[in-house]
Amino acid sequence: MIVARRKPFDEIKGSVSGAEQVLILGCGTCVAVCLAGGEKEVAILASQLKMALRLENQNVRIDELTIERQCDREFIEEINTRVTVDDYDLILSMACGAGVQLLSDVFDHKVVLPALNTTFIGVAEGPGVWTERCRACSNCILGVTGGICPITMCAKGLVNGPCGGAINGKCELDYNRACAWAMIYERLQKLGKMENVRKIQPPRRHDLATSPALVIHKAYQ
Amino acid sequence: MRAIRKVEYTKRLLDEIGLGSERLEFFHIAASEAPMFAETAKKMTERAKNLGPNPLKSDH
Amino acid sequence: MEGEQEVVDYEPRLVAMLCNYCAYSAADLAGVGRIQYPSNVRIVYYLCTGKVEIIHILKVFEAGADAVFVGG
Repeated sequence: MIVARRKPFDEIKGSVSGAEQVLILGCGTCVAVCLAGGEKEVAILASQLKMALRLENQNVRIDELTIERQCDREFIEEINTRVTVDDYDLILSMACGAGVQLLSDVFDHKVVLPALNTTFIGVAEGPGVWTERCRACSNCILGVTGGICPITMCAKGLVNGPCGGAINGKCELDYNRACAWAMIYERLQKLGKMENVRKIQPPRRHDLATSPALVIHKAYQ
Repeated sequence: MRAIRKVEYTKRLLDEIGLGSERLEFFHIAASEAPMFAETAKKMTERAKNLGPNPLKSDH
Repeated sequence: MEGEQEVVDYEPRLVAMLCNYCAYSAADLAGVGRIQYPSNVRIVYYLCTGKVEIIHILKVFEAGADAVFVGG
Protein backbone atom coordinates (compact mmCIF):
# COMPACT_ATOMS: atom_id res chain seq x y z
CA MET A 1 0.00 0.00 0.00
CA ILE A 2 1.10 3.56 -0.65
CA VAL A 3 1.61 5.49 2.57
CA ALA A 4 1.22 9.26 2.72
CA ARG A 5 0.80 11.90 5.36
CA ARG A 6 -1.00 15.18 5.37
CA LYS A 7 0.97 18.32 4.62
CA PRO A 8 1.28 20.86 7.44
CA PHE A 9 -2.02 22.69 7.85
CA ASP A 10 -0.51 26.13 7.28
CA GLU A 11 0.93 25.00 3.95
CA ILE A 12 -2.48 23.72 2.80
CA LYS A 13 -4.23 26.85 4.05
CA GLY A 14 -1.72 29.03 2.23
CA SER A 15 -2.18 27.12 -1.01
CA VAL A 16 -5.96 27.58 -1.10
CA SER A 17 -6.06 31.19 0.02
CA GLY A 18 -7.52 33.48 -2.58
CA ALA A 19 -9.80 30.82 -4.01
CA GLU A 20 -13.55 31.20 -3.63
CA GLN A 21 -14.75 27.69 -4.32
CA VAL A 22 -12.66 24.71 -3.36
CA LEU A 23 -13.32 21.01 -3.88
CA ILE A 24 -11.50 18.68 -1.51
CA LEU A 25 -11.24 15.35 -3.24
CA GLY A 26 -10.44 12.25 -1.21
CA CYS A 27 -9.24 8.87 -2.39
CA GLY A 28 -10.76 5.74 -0.91
CA THR A 29 -7.87 3.34 -1.48
CA CYS A 30 -4.35 3.39 0.04
CA VAL A 31 -4.44 6.84 1.62
CA ALA A 32 -7.79 6.08 3.24
CA VAL A 33 -6.25 3.06 4.96
CA CYS A 34 -3.24 5.04 6.21
CA LEU A 35 -5.58 7.70 7.66
CA ALA A 36 -4.31 10.43 5.36
CA GLY A 37 -6.85 11.09 2.61
CA GLY A 38 -10.04 9.07 2.97
CA GLU A 39 -13.57 10.30 3.56
CA LYS A 40 -12.99 11.03 7.25
CA GLU A 41 -9.80 12.95 6.61
CA VAL A 42 -11.50 14.95 3.86
CA ALA A 43 -14.23 15.93 6.34
CA ILE A 44 -11.67 16.92 8.97
CA LEU A 45 -9.61 19.02 6.56
CA ALA A 46 -12.74 20.68 5.16
CA SER A 47 -13.97 21.57 8.63
CA GLN A 48 -10.55 22.87 9.69
CA LEU A 49 -10.19 24.99 6.56
CA LYS A 50 -13.71 26.38 6.87
CA MET A 51 -13.05 27.51 10.43
CA ALA A 52 -9.52 28.80 9.85
CA LEU A 53 -10.52 30.80 6.78
CA ARG A 54 -13.60 32.19 8.49
CA LEU A 55 -11.36 33.41 11.32
CA GLU A 56 -9.41 35.31 8.66
CA ASN A 57 -12.67 36.69 7.22
CA GLN A 58 -12.19 34.83 3.97
CA ASN A 59 -15.39 33.68 2.39
CA VAL A 60 -14.64 30.35 0.77
CA ARG A 61 -17.05 27.61 -0.18
CA ILE A 62 -15.54 24.23 0.49
CA ASP A 63 -17.12 21.04 -0.82
CA GLU A 64 -16.12 17.47 -0.13
CA LEU A 65 -16.08 14.40 -2.33
CA THR A 66 -14.32 11.08 -2.02
CA ILE A 67 -13.96 8.68 -4.91
CA GLU A 68 -12.81 5.08 -4.93
CA ARG A 69 -9.46 5.69 -6.61
CA GLN A 70 -7.76 8.73 -8.08
CA CYS A 71 -5.16 6.70 -9.98
CA ASP A 72 -7.73 5.31 -12.40
CA ARG A 73 -9.46 7.30 -15.17
CA GLU A 74 -12.61 5.26 -14.80
CA PHE A 75 -13.13 6.53 -11.26
CA ILE A 76 -12.10 10.10 -12.06
CA GLU A 77 -14.72 10.34 -14.78
CA GLU A 78 -17.29 9.45 -12.13
CA ILE A 79 -16.58 12.85 -10.49
CA ASN A 80 -18.53 14.56 -13.30
CA THR A 81 -21.66 12.64 -12.39
CA ARG A 82 -21.50 13.92 -8.82
CA VAL A 83 -20.25 17.50 -9.02
CA THR A 84 -19.64 20.17 -11.66
CA VAL A 85 -15.88 20.57 -11.66
CA ASP A 86 -16.07 23.91 -13.47
CA ASP A 87 -17.79 25.41 -10.42
CA TYR A 88 -14.53 25.27 -8.51
CA ASP A 89 -11.48 27.50 -8.61
CA LEU A 90 -9.26 24.70 -7.48
CA ILE A 91 -9.26 21.05 -6.53
CA LEU A 92 -7.39 20.02 -3.42
CA SER A 93 -6.52 16.38 -3.88
CA MET A 94 -5.97 14.14 -0.88
CA ALA A 95 -4.54 11.30 -2.97
CA CYS A 96 -0.97 10.13 -3.46
CA GLY A 97 1.22 11.81 -6.07
CA ALA A 98 -0.09 9.46 -8.74
CA GLY A 99 -3.68 10.48 -8.03
CA VAL A 100 -2.87 14.19 -8.08
CA GLN A 101 -1.15 13.83 -11.46
CA LEU A 102 -3.88 11.83 -13.14
CA LEU A 103 -6.42 14.27 -11.79
CA SER A 104 -4.60 17.22 -13.31
CA ASP A 105 -4.23 15.28 -16.58
CA VAL A 106 -7.97 14.74 -16.80
CA PHE A 107 -8.91 18.24 -15.61
CA ASP A 108 -6.04 20.02 -17.31
CA HIS A 109 -7.86 23.37 -17.26
CA LYS A 110 -8.15 23.27 -13.44
CA VAL A 111 -5.63 23.96 -10.72
CA VAL A 112 -5.08 20.71 -8.83
CA LEU A 113 -3.12 20.96 -5.59
CA PRO A 114 -1.79 18.19 -3.36
CA ALA A 115 -2.80 18.06 0.30
CA LEU A 116 -0.59 15.08 1.12
CA ASN A 117 3.07 14.20 0.99
CA THR A 118 3.45 10.70 -0.47
CA THR A 119 6.10 8.83 1.49
CA PHE A 120 6.54 5.15 0.62
CA ILE A 121 5.18 1.70 -0.24
CA GLY A 122 4.73 -0.08 3.04
CA VAL A 123 2.68 -2.14 5.43
CA ALA A 124 0.53 -1.43 8.49
CA GLU A 125 2.39 -2.57 11.61
CA GLY A 126 -0.41 -1.73 14.03
CA PRO A 127 -2.88 1.05 14.70
CA GLY A 128 -1.40 4.23 13.25
CA VAL A 129 2.02 2.78 12.44
CA TRP A 130 3.38 2.06 8.94
CA THR A 131 6.80 0.97 7.78
CA GLU A 132 8.43 1.03 4.38
CA ARG A 133 8.84 -2.40 2.76
CA CYS A 134 9.37 -1.91 -0.97
CA ARG A 135 11.40 0.43 -3.16
CA ALA A 136 9.73 -0.67 -6.41
CA CYS A 137 13.13 -1.58 -7.91
CA SER A 138 11.59 -3.71 -10.74
CA ASN A 139 13.77 -6.74 -9.95
CA CYS A 140 12.50 -8.59 -6.88
CA ILE A 141 14.99 -10.73 -4.96
CA LEU A 142 12.77 -11.49 -1.96
CA GLY A 143 12.77 -15.17 -2.95
CA VAL A 144 16.49 -15.39 -2.23
CA THR A 145 16.55 -13.21 0.88
CA GLY A 146 13.85 -15.04 2.82
CA GLY A 147 11.17 -12.42 2.26
CA ILE A 148 13.14 -9.48 3.71
CA CYS A 149 14.06 -6.74 1.28
CA PRO A 150 17.67 -5.56 1.64
CA ILE A 151 17.13 -2.81 -0.93
CA THR A 152 14.64 -1.19 1.43
CA MET A 153 15.77 -2.35 4.87
CA CYS A 154 19.57 -2.23 4.45
CA ALA A 155 20.87 1.32 4.78
CA LYS A 156 23.35 0.60 2.01
CA GLY A 157 20.92 -1.35 -0.19
CA LEU A 158 23.34 -4.26 -0.46
CA VAL A 159 22.28 -7.39 -2.35
CA ASN A 160 25.32 -9.27 -1.00
CA GLY A 161 25.47 -8.70 2.73
CA PRO A 162 26.06 -8.21 5.55
CA CYS A 163 28.57 -5.43 5.14
CA GLY A 164 30.53 -6.26 8.28
CA GLY A 165 29.68 -3.10 10.18
CA ALA A 166 26.69 -4.47 12.07
CA ILE A 167 26.95 -4.66 15.87
CA ASN A 168 24.62 -7.02 17.76
CA GLY A 169 22.26 -7.16 14.81
CA LYS A 170 22.03 -3.36 14.57
CA CYS A 171 23.04 -1.17 11.65
CA GLU A 172 26.32 0.74 11.94
CA LEU A 173 24.69 3.85 10.51
CA ASP A 174 21.93 3.89 13.11
CA TYR A 175 22.07 1.66 16.15
CA ASN A 176 18.30 1.89 16.64
CA ARG A 177 17.76 0.23 13.31
CA ALA A 178 17.98 -3.53 12.74
CA CYS A 179 20.57 -4.81 10.27
CA ALA A 180 18.61 -6.14 7.30
CA TRP A 181 21.21 -8.77 6.57
CA ALA A 182 21.24 -9.99 10.17
CA MET A 183 17.48 -10.44 9.85
CA ILE A 184 17.89 -12.21 6.51
CA TYR A 185 20.54 -14.52 8.01
CA GLU A 186 18.22 -15.50 10.86
CA ARG A 187 15.25 -15.97 8.58
CA LEU A 188 17.20 -18.16 6.16
CA GLN A 189 18.49 -20.22 9.09
CA LYS A 190 14.90 -20.79 10.19
CA LEU A 191 13.94 -21.77 6.65
CA GLY A 192 16.95 -24.08 6.27
CA LYS A 193 18.09 -22.13 3.21
CA MET A 194 21.52 -21.02 4.34
CA GLU A 195 22.95 -21.79 0.92
CA ASN A 196 21.18 -18.65 -0.34
CA VAL A 197 23.41 -16.41 1.73
CA ARG A 198 26.55 -18.06 0.36
CA LYS A 199 25.45 -17.51 -3.24
CA ILE A 200 26.85 -14.34 -4.78
CA GLN A 201 24.06 -12.25 -6.24
CA PRO A 202 24.65 -10.47 -9.54
CA PRO A 203 24.83 -6.67 -9.30
CA ARG A 204 21.54 -4.83 -9.06
CA ARG A 205 19.82 -4.30 -12.43
CA HIS A 206 19.42 -0.54 -12.32
CA ASP A 207 18.53 -0.60 -16.01
CA LEU A 208 15.22 -2.29 -15.17
CA ALA A 209 14.18 0.54 -12.89
CA THR A 210 13.89 3.19 -15.59
CA SER A 211 12.26 6.44 -14.67
CA PRO A 212 9.52 7.05 -15.56
CA ALA A 213 8.73 3.35 -15.70
CA LEU A 214 6.20 1.87 -18.07
CA VAL A 215 4.36 -1.43 -17.85
CA ILE A 216 2.30 -2.83 -20.70
CA HIS A 217 0.66 -6.14 -19.99
CA LYS A 218 1.70 -8.88 -22.43
CA ALA A 219 -1.89 -9.37 -23.49
CA TYR A 220 -2.09 -5.72 -24.55
CA GLN A 221 1.18 -5.41 -26.47
CA MET B 1 -8.06 4.89 25.61
CA ARG B 2 -9.29 5.75 22.15
CA ALA B 3 -11.20 8.85 23.24
CA ILE B 4 -8.18 10.41 24.99
CA ARG B 5 -6.01 9.94 21.92
CA LYS B 6 -8.65 11.44 19.64
CA VAL B 7 -9.21 14.39 21.96
CA GLU B 8 -5.47 15.05 22.15
CA TYR B 9 -5.24 14.98 18.36
CA THR B 10 -8.30 17.21 17.98
CA LYS B 11 -6.72 19.71 20.38
CA ARG B 12 -3.80 19.94 17.98
CA LEU B 13 -6.20 20.45 15.06
CA LEU B 14 -7.89 23.29 16.98
CA ASP B 15 -4.52 24.94 17.52
CA GLU B 16 -3.86 24.72 13.77
CA ILE B 17 -7.20 26.39 13.06
CA GLY B 18 -6.43 29.14 15.52
CA LEU B 19 -9.32 28.47 17.88
CA GLY B 20 -7.02 27.26 20.65
CA SER B 21 -6.83 23.83 22.21
CA GLU B 22 -7.97 25.11 25.62
CA ARG B 23 -11.54 25.02 24.42
CA LEU B 24 -11.52 21.23 24.43
CA GLU B 25 -10.73 18.89 27.29
CA PHE B 26 -11.10 15.27 28.32
CA PHE B 27 -12.18 14.29 31.84
CA HIS B 28 -12.43 11.02 33.67
CA ILE B 29 -15.77 10.95 35.47
CA ALA B 30 -16.98 7.73 37.09
CA ALA B 31 -20.68 6.90 37.19
CA SER B 32 -20.94 7.66 40.91
CA GLU B 33 -19.14 10.99 40.74
CA ALA B 34 -22.07 13.38 40.32
CA PRO B 35 -20.37 16.26 42.19
CA MET B 36 -17.32 15.74 40.00
CA PHE B 37 -19.49 16.18 36.90
CA ALA B 38 -20.97 19.40 38.25
CA GLU B 39 -17.49 20.63 39.12
CA THR B 40 -16.19 19.80 35.65
CA ALA B 41 -19.10 21.64 34.04
CA LYS B 42 -18.37 24.67 36.23
CA LYS B 43 -14.66 24.51 35.50
CA MET B 44 -15.19 24.40 31.74
CA THR B 45 -17.78 27.20 31.89
CA GLU B 46 -15.27 29.35 33.77
CA ARG B 47 -12.61 28.55 31.25
CA ALA B 48 -14.93 29.41 28.36
CA LYS B 49 -15.73 32.73 30.06
CA ASN B 50 -12.04 33.53 30.39
CA LEU B 51 -11.37 32.60 26.76
CA GLY B 52 -14.22 34.70 25.48
CA PRO B 53 -16.82 33.64 22.93
CA ASN B 54 -16.06 31.37 20.01
CA PRO B 55 -15.05 33.84 17.27
CA LEU B 56 -16.89 31.70 14.71
CA LYS B 57 -20.25 32.40 16.29
CA SER B 58 -22.38 34.35 13.85
CA ASP B 59 -24.32 36.41 16.42
CA HIS B 60 -21.20 38.03 17.84
CA MET C 1 -16.41 40.55 15.24
CA GLU C 2 -13.31 42.79 15.36
CA GLY C 3 -14.79 45.46 17.62
CA GLU C 4 -15.22 43.28 20.68
CA GLN C 5 -12.02 41.55 21.57
CA GLU C 6 -12.48 41.33 25.35
CA VAL C 7 -15.98 40.15 26.13
CA VAL C 8 -15.61 38.52 29.52
CA ASP C 9 -19.19 38.70 30.66
CA TYR C 10 -21.15 36.46 28.36
CA GLU C 11 -23.09 33.25 28.65
CA PRO C 12 -20.88 30.55 27.12
CA ARG C 13 -22.39 27.59 25.37
CA LEU C 14 -20.80 24.29 26.24
CA VAL C 15 -21.19 20.84 24.79
CA ALA C 16 -20.44 17.76 26.87
CA MET C 17 -19.88 14.46 25.09
CA LEU C 18 -20.58 11.80 27.64
CA CYS C 19 -20.27 8.04 27.86
CA ASN C 20 -23.38 6.11 28.88
CA TYR C 21 -21.58 4.07 31.47
CA CYS C 22 -19.66 6.71 33.36
CA ALA C 23 -20.01 10.44 32.80
CA TYR C 24 -23.61 10.33 31.55
CA SER C 25 -24.62 8.37 34.64
CA ALA C 26 -22.78 10.93 36.73
CA ALA C 27 -24.70 13.72 35.02
CA ASP C 28 -27.92 11.81 35.59
CA LEU C 29 -27.04 11.35 39.24
CA ALA C 30 -26.27 15.04 39.53
CA GLY C 31 -29.79 15.70 38.31
CA VAL C 32 -31.36 13.21 40.70
CA GLY C 33 -29.25 14.50 43.60
CA ARG C 34 -30.16 18.10 42.70
CA ILE C 35 -26.53 19.10 42.45
CA GLN C 36 -26.27 22.50 40.80
CA TYR C 37 -24.29 22.76 37.61
CA PRO C 38 -24.25 25.45 34.90
CA SER C 39 -27.35 25.31 32.75
CA ASN C 40 -25.49 26.23 29.59
CA VAL C 41 -24.06 22.75 29.20
CA ARG C 42 -25.68 20.71 26.44
CA ILE C 43 -25.14 17.00 26.63
CA VAL C 44 -24.46 14.70 23.68
CA TYR C 45 -25.00 11.12 24.65
CA TYR C 46 -22.63 8.41 23.45
CA LEU C 47 -22.76 4.71 24.19
CA CYS C 48 -19.00 4.95 24.61
CA THR C 49 -16.69 7.94 24.24
CA GLY C 50 -14.56 5.70 22.04
CA LYS C 51 -17.12 6.51 19.35
CA VAL C 52 -16.51 10.26 19.60
CA GLU C 53 -15.19 11.17 16.19
CA ILE C 54 -12.80 14.05 15.53
CA ILE C 55 -15.25 15.46 13.02
CA HIS C 56 -18.05 15.51 15.65
CA ILE C 57 -15.95 17.79 17.85
CA LEU C 58 -14.93 20.00 14.93
CA LYS C 59 -18.55 20.34 13.75
CA VAL C 60 -19.59 21.42 17.23
CA PHE C 61 -17.01 24.21 17.16
CA GLU C 62 -18.03 25.10 13.62
CA ALA C 63 -21.59 25.53 14.90
CA GLY C 64 -20.34 28.03 17.47
CA ALA C 65 -19.82 26.16 20.73
CA ASP C 66 -17.50 28.01 23.13
CA ALA C 67 -16.03 24.92 24.75
CA VAL C 68 -16.39 21.16 24.56
CA PHE C 69 -15.56 18.50 27.07
CA VAL C 70 -15.51 14.78 26.64
CA GLY C 71 -16.28 12.75 29.73
CA GLY C 72 -15.63 9.08 30.08
